[in-house]
Amino acid sequence: MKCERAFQYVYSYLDGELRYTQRVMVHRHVRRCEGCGVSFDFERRVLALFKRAVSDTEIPPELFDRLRALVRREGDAGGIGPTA
Amino acid sequence: MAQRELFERDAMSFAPQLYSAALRMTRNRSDAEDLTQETFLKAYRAYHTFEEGTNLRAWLYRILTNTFINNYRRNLRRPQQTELDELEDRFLHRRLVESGGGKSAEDEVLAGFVDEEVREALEALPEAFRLPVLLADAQGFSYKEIAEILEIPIGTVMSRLHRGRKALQKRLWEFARQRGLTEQRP
Repeated sequence: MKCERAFQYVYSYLDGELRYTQRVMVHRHVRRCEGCGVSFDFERRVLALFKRAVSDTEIPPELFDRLRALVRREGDAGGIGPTA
Repeated sequence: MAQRELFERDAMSFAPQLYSAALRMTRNRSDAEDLTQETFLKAYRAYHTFEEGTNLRAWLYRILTNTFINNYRRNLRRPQQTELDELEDRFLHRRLVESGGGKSAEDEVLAGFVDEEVREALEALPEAFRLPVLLADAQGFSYKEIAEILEIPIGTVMSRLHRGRKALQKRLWEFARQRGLTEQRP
């Protein structure tokens, strides 16, 4: 596998989306080729940076209360009855 | 268990994640709160159509993204070619290598980005690219799940995700230059 070809798979590889055979081929190339090893590692670190920055999952407590109230009101109004 | 109790137990536990995604979609708190509320109301009303044992989280995100697209009339499914420049691969890495300083300088630049900058870069992406990136990187959905949520082919998910990530790198590079992060060396 050539470098350019290997790099085409970089995101699929890092996202764990490659099929076994492809994954093994890319993996072998990256281990043997120093340049690709460096490139892949760099892309992996940038992805980790994205993930860290955007995976905040805080919700304002009052919004959560409002959501629950919304659902309860809907339920109480008979929108959806309880199932058996 | 009553439908409402099930919904509160299962679906409501995803509210923080959905709100966070809504915030990145709408770019402001008040719209994000409205979008989250509308999503949960729709989800609750349609909850009897949800098939037990299938992917509840993906189902909720599909409602969220559809509501977002409908409300904001974004043409997510038909992005214009001009919306995002075609960028070369390894965008950020190439620039850092060119600016010299070696690996320690690269580490320094990467460590120097604050979360706020990355979020700003993400929020600046056109919707068609922002949503796949958001679903993959912030929410950890697989390509197949993203294709189902956004109702686009998996190949389109991949190309938008890749182009979106490159565009993020370009924006980050601009931040780095503005802050002089890459000009510390002769």
